[in-house]
Amino acid sequence: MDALNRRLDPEVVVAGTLLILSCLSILFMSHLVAAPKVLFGRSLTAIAPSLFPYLILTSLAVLNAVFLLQCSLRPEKIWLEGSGESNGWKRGALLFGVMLFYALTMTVFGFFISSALSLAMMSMLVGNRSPVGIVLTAVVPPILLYLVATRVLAVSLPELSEIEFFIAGVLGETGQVKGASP
Amino acid sequence: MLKRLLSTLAVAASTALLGIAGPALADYPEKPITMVIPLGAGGSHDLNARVITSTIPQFINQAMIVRLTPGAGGQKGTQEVSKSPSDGYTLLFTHNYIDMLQQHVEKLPYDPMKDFVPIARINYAPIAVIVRADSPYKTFEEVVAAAKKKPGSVRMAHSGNWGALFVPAAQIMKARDAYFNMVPYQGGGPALQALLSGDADISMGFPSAIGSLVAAGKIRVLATAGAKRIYPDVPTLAEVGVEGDIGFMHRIVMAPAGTPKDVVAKLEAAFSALLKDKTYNRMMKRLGENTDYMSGSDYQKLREKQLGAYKDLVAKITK
Amino acid sequence: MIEQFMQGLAMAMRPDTVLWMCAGLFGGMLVGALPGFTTLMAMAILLPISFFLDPLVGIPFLLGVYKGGIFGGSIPAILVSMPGTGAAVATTIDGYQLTKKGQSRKALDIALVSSVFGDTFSDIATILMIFPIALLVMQFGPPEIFAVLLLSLVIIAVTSGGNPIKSLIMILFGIWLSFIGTDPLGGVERFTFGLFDLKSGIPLLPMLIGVFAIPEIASVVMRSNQGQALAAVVGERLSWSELKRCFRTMCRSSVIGASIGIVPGLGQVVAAMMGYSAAKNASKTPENFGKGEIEGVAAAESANNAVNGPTLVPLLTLGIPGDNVTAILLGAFVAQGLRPGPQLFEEHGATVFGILIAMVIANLLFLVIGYLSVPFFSRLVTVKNAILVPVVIMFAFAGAYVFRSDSFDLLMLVAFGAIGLIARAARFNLMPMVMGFILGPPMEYAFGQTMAMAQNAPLQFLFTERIGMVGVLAITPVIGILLWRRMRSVSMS
Repeated sequence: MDALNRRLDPEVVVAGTLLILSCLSILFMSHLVAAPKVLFGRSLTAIAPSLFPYLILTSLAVLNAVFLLQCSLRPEKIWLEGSGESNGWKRGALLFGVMLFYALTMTVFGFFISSALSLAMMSMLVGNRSPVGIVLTAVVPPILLYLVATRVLAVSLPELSEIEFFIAGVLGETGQVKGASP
Repeated sequence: MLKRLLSTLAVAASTALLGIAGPALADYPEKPITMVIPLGAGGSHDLNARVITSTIPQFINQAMIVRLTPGAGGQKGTQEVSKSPSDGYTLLFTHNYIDMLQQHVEKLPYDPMKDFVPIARINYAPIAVIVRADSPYKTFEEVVAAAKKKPGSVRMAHSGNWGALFVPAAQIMKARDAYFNMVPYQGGGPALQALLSGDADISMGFPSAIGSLVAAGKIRVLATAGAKRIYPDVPTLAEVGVEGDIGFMHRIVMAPAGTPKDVVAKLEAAFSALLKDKTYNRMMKRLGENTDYMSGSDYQKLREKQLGAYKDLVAKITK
Repeated sequence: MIEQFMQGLAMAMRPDTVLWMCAGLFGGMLVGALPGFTTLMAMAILLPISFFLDPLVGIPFLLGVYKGGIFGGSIPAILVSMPGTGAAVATTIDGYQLTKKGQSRKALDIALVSSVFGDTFSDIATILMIFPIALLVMQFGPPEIFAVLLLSLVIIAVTSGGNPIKSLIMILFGIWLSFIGTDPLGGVERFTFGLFDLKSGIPLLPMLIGVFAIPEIASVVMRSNQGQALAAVVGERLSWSELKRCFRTMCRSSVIGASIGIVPGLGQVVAAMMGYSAAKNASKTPENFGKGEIEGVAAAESANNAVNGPTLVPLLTLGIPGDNVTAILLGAFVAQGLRPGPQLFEEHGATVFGILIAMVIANLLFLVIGYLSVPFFSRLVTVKNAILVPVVIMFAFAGAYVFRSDSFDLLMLVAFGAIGLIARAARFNLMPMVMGFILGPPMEYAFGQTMAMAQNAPLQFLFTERIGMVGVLAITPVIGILLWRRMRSVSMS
C-alpha cells in the first residue's frame, strides 16, 4: 500500500471532507443559522438555535481529526477489507442518470409518461431486450399503481390535467356521484 | 433551473390546452378535487376534513381527495396551493393563525391576502385557559397575579410557537402585562399531558379536547374565549380584561386567487349545503366540533380585521 | 372490573368483529407494504367508514389496519432493503441479508411470528396493568426523554459494529443533516442557504429509501445479467428449533419495547434499535449480526411491536393522543360516543375491555393471515431483475413523492442514493446516520424544553425536581464503556 493510495482511500476522503465541511460551518455559523427571535424582550427559546449545531459540529470535527490521525498511525488495521464491486460502474452511472431523469420529469410530464419512459430505460439497462417485455414493464405497473393510489388509497400523484380528465372519462366518473358517501 | 424552466413550459402548455377547451370549465368539476391540508396526519384538521370529504361528494358530484402537506409551520402546503392553477381543483384547508398571523413573524413565499380567496369557514373552536384540579390557582386573576409577582414563575405549556395555544397566551400576556414561562410541546396533546403530570402550571385547550377531563374533575377551567360563557361559572376572556378576536381557531377552506366566479359559487354552495346534511352534522357533533358555518365573503371581512390585529399584536410583543 | 372484563370477552367474540378485523389486517398489510403509503394514511382514509360501524366492529377494524400495516412495512424492508419507516430500519439490517442468502421466506416468517409475539405480549401487559402504566407515564417529562435519547444514541454508537469512532461520526453527521430546515424550538432557519425547498427540512422517507434501497438496487444493476433474479430461491419455512432459539430474544425485546412504549414520544424506532442492540450484546455470536441472523430480525420486530400497547394508555385513561395514530383512534372513539378519559372505564368498561381483547384476537388472526400470505410475498424476489428493478424503483419514487407531495423529495432520493454508495465505498455504516437523523431533533427539542422549564438555573432545577434524569445521565457513560469493551473483546477473539 503506497502513500498515494492511502491518501486516496475513500474512507480518508470522506472523513477529510466531513472535517473540512464541519470546520467551515463552524466558521460561518452566524450566516448559516438565523438569529433567535424575541418575545417581550427575551429570547423566544431557552437555548439558542446555534447551540446544538456548535456542539455537534465541534464534536464531528474533533472525531474526524482523531480518526484521520488513527488512519495515519495504524493504517494496517484499517485497510483490511476490500471495497468490492468495481466492475459494472458504467451501468451504475447510467442507472443514476435514469433516476435523475425520472426525478426531474415526474411533475413536468406527469406520473404516467415519466414512469413509462424511465421504466423502459431501466428495464433495458438491466438487460431486457424483448420489445414486448419492455413495453409491458413500462406501461402496466404505472397504470396499476396510479389507479390504486388515486382511486383506492385516495392520495394524489402528479398527473397532467388532460390525462386526469381522460382517466375520469374512461372510468365513467364524470358527472356521477362518487365517494364514500353513505 | 432546468426544472423551473420545464415546469413553466408545462404550465404554459396546459393553460393553452385548457384555453382551447374553454367551455369545459362550465361543467366544473370534471375530476376529483384535491384539498390540501398544511398540517400533519391525525390532527383536528385531518379529522374534520375526513368528515367533509366523506359527505361533500353528493353536493358537487365529484370525489374530494385530502392531501396532507405539513412542513415549515404550514407554509409548505400553503405555498403549494398558492402556486397551483386557479381552476378550483386545488383547495386549501387551513386555520386563521397560519393564514393571517404568520406573515408578520416570517418572510413568506406568498402573500396570503392577495393569493387566496376564502370559500367557507367550516367551524371554529374557542380556547379555554386551564389548570390542574389541585392547582393553587383558583381563578384567572390569581394566575396573573403570580405571573406578575415573579415573572416566569408560572410555566405555561403550549403547542408550538405562534400556534393555537401560543397566540392567545401572548395576547393575555400583552393585555395583562404578565409574563409566563412558555414551554413548547409538540402539539396540544403533549401540552395537556405536561399540565396533568405537573410539568406545567397552566395550559390551554379546546372544549372538544378537554371535555372529559373537566367532567372527571381532573382539570379546572379559569377562562374561556368567546362573547358568551361556555361554562356558567367561568368568566370569558373579555370579562377578565383580555378583549378582541382572541382565542378562536377558525377552520377555513380557501382557493387560489383568480378562481373563476362561477367555480367559487359552486364550491360555496356545496359547502353551505353541508349544513343541511344530517350525517355531516352528526359526525361533527361526535367529534366535538360545532358547525358554525360562515360564507367566504363574510369571512373575508373577518380576515381583514385579523390582518391588522395580528400585525399590532406581533409588533407589540416581539420587541 | 372482572365482570366488565368477562362481558368484554363475550363482546369481542362476535363473528362480524372477527370478519372486519380480518379485512383490516389484510388491507393494512397490503398498504403497509407500499413504502410511502403509510398505515397512518390508510387509517385516516378508513376512519369515516368506522363511524358507521358498531364500536366493537369499527375500532377493532382500524386497529387491524394498524397492526397489519406495521408488519406490512417489514415486507419491503426484508425483500428489497426498503424500510418505509424508521421502525423498520433495524429489521432491514439482517432481513435483507437473509433474502440475499436465499432465505426470504424464513426472514418473513420470523418477522411475522416475532411481531405477533411482541404485540400480544404488550397488549396483555397493557390490559393487566393499564392503571399502573397510566401513573408511570406521568413520570416522564422532557428531561427524562432527553436522557433516554442520549443513552440510546450512545448504545447505538458502540454496538452498531466496526470502529465506534466511525459510528459516532455517522451519528453526528445524521444529527447535522437533521439541522437543515427550521429549528424545532424557535422556528428560525438553519443551513437552508435561503432555499425554500429546504425550509421544512430533509424528509425521512427519501433518506431511508435512498441510503438503504438505492445502493442495493445499484449493485444488482451493476452485477445483473439478462434473466437473473434477486434471489434464485426463497428457501425453507421457519423451523421449530429456530423459533425456540429466538424465544429468549423475543421475550427480552418485548420487555424492552413495552418499557420504551411507556416513555411518551420515543416509540418504535428507539425500541427496535434497543431490542436489536440488546440481542446482539446477549448473543454468543454477535459477529453474525448484520450478516443474516434470524435473531436480529426477531429482536427488532418484537421490540417495535411491543411499543403499541402502552402507547394506547394515555389515550384511554386521559383522552390524550400521544401520536398521530392514537389521534385517529381518538377520532374513532369519540365518533362512537366513547369519550376517552378518566371516566371511560366507569361508563363503558365492558366495551373498552372488549376492544382491548379484540386487539389480542386480532394478533392471533394475523398469525394465520400472515402465515398464508408469506409464501406469496417471499416469491416476489424471484421475479426477473429486468422487471423487478424498474418496478421497485417506481415504488420508491412514488412512495417518496406521496410522502409530502413534493417533487423536490425525488431529487433528495437520488442524492441520498449517491450518499449511500459513497458511504459504502468508504465502509461507513449508514444505520447510525439514520438514527442520528431521526433521534437528533427530539433530543434537541427535549433539551430546549428542559432549559425552558429550568429558567436560568438548570443545575438547581435538575437536582431538586429531576433527579431521575441525573441518574440516567450518570449511568450513560458507564453503559457505553461496558458495552464497548464487550463488543471489542468479541471482535478480537
